[in-house]
Amino acid sequence: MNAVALQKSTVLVVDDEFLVAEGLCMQVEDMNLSVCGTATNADEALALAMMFRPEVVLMDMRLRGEQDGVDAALAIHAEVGSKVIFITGSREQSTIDRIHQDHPAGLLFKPVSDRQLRMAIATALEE
Amino acid sequence: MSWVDWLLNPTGLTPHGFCLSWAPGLVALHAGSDAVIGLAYLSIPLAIAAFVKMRPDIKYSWVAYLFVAFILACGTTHLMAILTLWAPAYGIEGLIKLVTAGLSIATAALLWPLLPKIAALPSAAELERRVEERTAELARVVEEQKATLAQRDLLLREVYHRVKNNLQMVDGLLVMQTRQITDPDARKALRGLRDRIFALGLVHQQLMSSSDLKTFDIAPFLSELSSNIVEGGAGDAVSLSVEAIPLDVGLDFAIPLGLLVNELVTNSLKHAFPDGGGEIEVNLSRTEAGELLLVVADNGRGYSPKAPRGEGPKVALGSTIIQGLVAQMEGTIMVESQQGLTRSEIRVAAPLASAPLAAAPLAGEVAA
Repeated sequence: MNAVALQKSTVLVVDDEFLVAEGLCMQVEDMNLSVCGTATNADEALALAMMFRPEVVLMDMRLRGEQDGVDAALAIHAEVGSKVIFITGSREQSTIDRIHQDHPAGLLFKPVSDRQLRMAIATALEE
Repeated sequence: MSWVDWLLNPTGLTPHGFCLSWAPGLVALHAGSDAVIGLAYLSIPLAIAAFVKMRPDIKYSWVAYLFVAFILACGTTHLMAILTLWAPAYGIEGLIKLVTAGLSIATAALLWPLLPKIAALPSAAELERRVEERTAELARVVEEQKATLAQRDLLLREVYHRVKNNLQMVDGLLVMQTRQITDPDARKALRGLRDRIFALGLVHQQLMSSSDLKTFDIAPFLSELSSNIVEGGAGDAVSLSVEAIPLDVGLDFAIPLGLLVNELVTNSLKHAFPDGGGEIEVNLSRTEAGELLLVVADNGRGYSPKAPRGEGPKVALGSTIIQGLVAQMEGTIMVESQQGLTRSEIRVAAPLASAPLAAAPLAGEVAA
């Protein structure tokens, strides 16, 4: 990981579970990145993304409301162009296929280890 | 005149041809027709008998044999009629007619009560319809069972999903708690807990992507687990090699084994390389006796078994976990350590899930 390059990057965390979102935020902060906010649904995620223009979005698949993580990611991708790393509890093919409708910068399965998160973010930022 | 004479002695009787005034046309007409009828009546019962023999499943085949007998008898009476054109053997002819009469009346009498039973036998079309009905019913049952199975898979995936999500929440809690703590030992302990929870989560990830949702190959799991510990803890400084035989395992086997690998690799990482670099090897193989042998080894500084490295007077949590899980798996552990080589060997019985796969090669090995 290139710590200097990562220093000022901002990350948006999208997950409808408070404990999961909070844990991810702290992990991100421990990597010397700043968290610009957390969102629990697709609309909120897009609004925050447009406001803060984060480099990276950590995106849960199941969100509150009608739209899922892929809907949110496609919208953010189109409006802001942030790199989206999906973090999903589901490792089944249908979910993975759905995620690949977007062009994910990374795909992680819960529970996510520090190392996996670190590497996925580093890869996304390098691209 | 005796009975026998009355019946068999033709003396005084005239042949039938005489009644026809020996008119050649009439004689030929009778003789010819009777010959053809007689031969046909010999052939027809043979065909019926052959048919019944070929189809032993046919019900009421005794009726067919009754037909065979009475048609044969009829045929014989026609052949006798030819004989009596020239020879007045009316007694024998009469006897044959008597036999024919008996067989005919028996057939006629038995046929009537049989009629409703034969009529009740299902026709080919009826049987075809019943087969179709049954087939449709079976197809429906199969569809229902498929749907039930799909439903089961869906529920299982949902459960695994939730388990994984909950583990992520537990991890979040631990991350949050770590923030509140400044004591380095306490922080390390929380770090250790997070690694163990990740090992549990990784098992559920494998389960979720397996086709039967019950078993998965342990080799890629061990590889992913070990590299996560090593790369997460030491980056590139420590090199790791993982070799494992392909082995289908379930939750009950994978969780203790995964946690054991987690503890042993973490131990090596924490204590073996105070100067940074080194090698860690994880190997899962099958012994000649069919047991599974897990080896975790490092080329670090080693330690004296009397004073386990890095441990205080209390037994460390890692050691308790290792002893407990080995006991749970009904296995044995052997540890040797010296400068440059620390090696833990755990032997456990192969899980039942792998028994069908393992049976064939195992039998071969034993025989050899």
